[in-house]
Amino acid sequence: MARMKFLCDAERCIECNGCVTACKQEHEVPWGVNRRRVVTLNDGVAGAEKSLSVACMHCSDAPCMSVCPVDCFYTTTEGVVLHDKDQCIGCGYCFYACPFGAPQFPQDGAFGMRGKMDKCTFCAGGPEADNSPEEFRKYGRNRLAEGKLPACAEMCATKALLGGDADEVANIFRDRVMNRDGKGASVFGWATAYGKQDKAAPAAQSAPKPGAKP
Amino acid sequence: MSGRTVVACAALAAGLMAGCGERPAATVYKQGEYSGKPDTQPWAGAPFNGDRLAWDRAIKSRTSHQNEYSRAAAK
Repeated sequence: MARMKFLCDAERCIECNGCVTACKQEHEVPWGVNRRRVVTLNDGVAGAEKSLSVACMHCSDAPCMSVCPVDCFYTTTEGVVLHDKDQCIGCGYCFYACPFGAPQFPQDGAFGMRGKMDKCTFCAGGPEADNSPEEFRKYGRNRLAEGKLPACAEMCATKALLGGDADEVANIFRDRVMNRDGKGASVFGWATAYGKQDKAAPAAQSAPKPGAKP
Repeated sequence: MSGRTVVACAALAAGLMAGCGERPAATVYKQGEYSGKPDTQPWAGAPFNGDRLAWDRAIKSRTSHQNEYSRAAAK
């Protein structure tokens, strides 16, 4: 069973905002609601600028789901975190809980009233009939039900943003890192993730010597 | 009483009673359980019509198509 995830490669993202535009266009997202956005770190610092495309990360243990007072969130069998807008009361707790700022609230009502929460659906719609006008109006297009991946990932020109089954996405990223000039295994693997490069012992050195006590 | 009067009275009564059809407004929440509408599987409707394996293949094909290294090798 697929476990859907996004992955953004900061080495490739050129801050073109193509993913943001694709999402806006695909779902006809209203003004003021940004299901996806590009965040730039070290903006303007030569050589240190990195951009990342951020949206709902469809967490395995989603904090939005934990704090929702009306329990309007659910996780699909593919690991996509979705919510029922008919149940949502627009309280905003999910926005406080989310580490990525994914939940968005339309403010087009009277007196700046906060509407029901809107967020990235991994292009999987919501709990209405698949690809019905009702589903499109509330959640946007259901590309997953059409056998397609999210529009942002498929639209990405440099393929910085990957989406799909987590195993397959990880394989693509591994291939890519291993093929990068001058880097490769040094920026992908156990030592990078869990320890410093100088402290990490190669497998040959860490193996016990013959005759040594265990 | 004429038939027209009876019909008018019945219509008036129906109109007045229309506001009395009160539905329960309070939602009953079960703590820790999803309280919204159930969703269907993405392969349930058209074009897959319940064929999960076909849907899996379509998604896998789309996902692997994001890898330029394998695409370049296939050419």
